Amino acid sequence: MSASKDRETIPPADVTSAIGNLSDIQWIRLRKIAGIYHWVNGMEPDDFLQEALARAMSGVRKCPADQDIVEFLTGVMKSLAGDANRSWWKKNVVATDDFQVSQQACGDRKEPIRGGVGHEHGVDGVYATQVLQKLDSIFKDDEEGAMLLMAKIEGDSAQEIQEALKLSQTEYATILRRIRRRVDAHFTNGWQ
Amino acid sequence: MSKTADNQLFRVAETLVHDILAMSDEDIVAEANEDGLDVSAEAERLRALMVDAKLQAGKAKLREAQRQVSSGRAQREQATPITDIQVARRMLAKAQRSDESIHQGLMLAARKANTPIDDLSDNDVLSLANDLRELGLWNNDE
Repeated sequence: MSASKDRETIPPADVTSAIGNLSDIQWIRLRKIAGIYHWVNGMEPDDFLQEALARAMSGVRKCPADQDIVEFLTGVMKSLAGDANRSWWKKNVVATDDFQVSQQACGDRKEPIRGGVGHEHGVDGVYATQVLQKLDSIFKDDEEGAMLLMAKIEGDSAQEIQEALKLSQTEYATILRRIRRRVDAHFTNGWQ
Repeated sequence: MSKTADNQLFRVAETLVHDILAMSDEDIVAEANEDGLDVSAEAERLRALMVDAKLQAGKAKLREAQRQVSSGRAQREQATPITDIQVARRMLAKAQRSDESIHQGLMLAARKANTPIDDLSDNDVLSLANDLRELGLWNNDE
C-alpha cells in the first residue's frame, strides 16, 4: 500500500467547515488558480471553482488531515483539469442533472455551458494547439519569457531551465511571474 | 500531436499555478489592487459559490446513495434463490438469534401460519429466507 493511501483524512463536514473559514486572501488565491486550470478544463472559472468545492465537500476527494486546505483544493482543481485532459469530462459530467456541460461552438472553440449535453474539450487537442499557438504569439517580443515557456511546454524542470538559461532562482521566478501576468492580461476571459 | 498538445497545455497551467502558490499574501493583495479588484468584495462574491457547491455536493451524495441502493438491489435480484431447506432453516435460526427484528418477523409469520416456528413448512421457510435476503437482512454467504 502506498504512503498516500495511509494518510489520515478528515471527514467532508470538516472540509466544508475549513472552506467556510477561508480568508479573503485564500479565496482570491483559489480564484486565481481556478483562472488557470479552467483553461485546460474549459469551464468558466467560477463554475470550475464551484465544481472543485462541491467535490471536496461531498467527499469525492479525501482531504489529508495534514494538508493545507488551499493546497488540497488546488489538488482537486488539478485533478479536474487532468480529468478533462483525459477526456473524462465527456464521459462523466454530462450525467449530472444540475451541472451539465454543453458542446456549443463559440467560433473555433467548443465552450461548455450549463444545461446542455456533451463536451469535446480536451479530446482532440485542437483547442490546446490553438492556445499554445496563441501563447507563442504573445511572447514574440519577450525572448526570455518565450524560452522559459517553451522549456516548460517541453516538460523541463525548474532546475534544468535555470541551468540551461543561466538564471538564478530569483530571475527564474521573476520571469515566471511576468509570464503569468502577461497571460492574465491576454486571457482575461479564458483562452480565447 | 493532439494528445501532446493537451499535455503541454496542462504543463503550462501547472507551472503558472505553481507561481500563484508561491505568492505571498502581500503579493496576492498587490495583484488584486493592480487588477482593480476589491479583495473583500471579491472574496464575498466567491463565498457565495460555496452555497451552490454545498447543494451540488448534497445532490452528488444523494446520487451516490441511490446508486448504491440500486446496485445492492440488482445484486440481490441476481442472486440464485435459496433452495436447500437445510441451509435455509439453519440460516433462519442463526438470523433469529442475532437479530431481534428478524426474530419478531418470524414469530409473526409463525402466528399467521398458526404453527410454531420450527414447524413452518419447507415452502414457508424457503420463502422467508429468500425474502430476508432480498431485503438485505441476511447474507447468504454467511
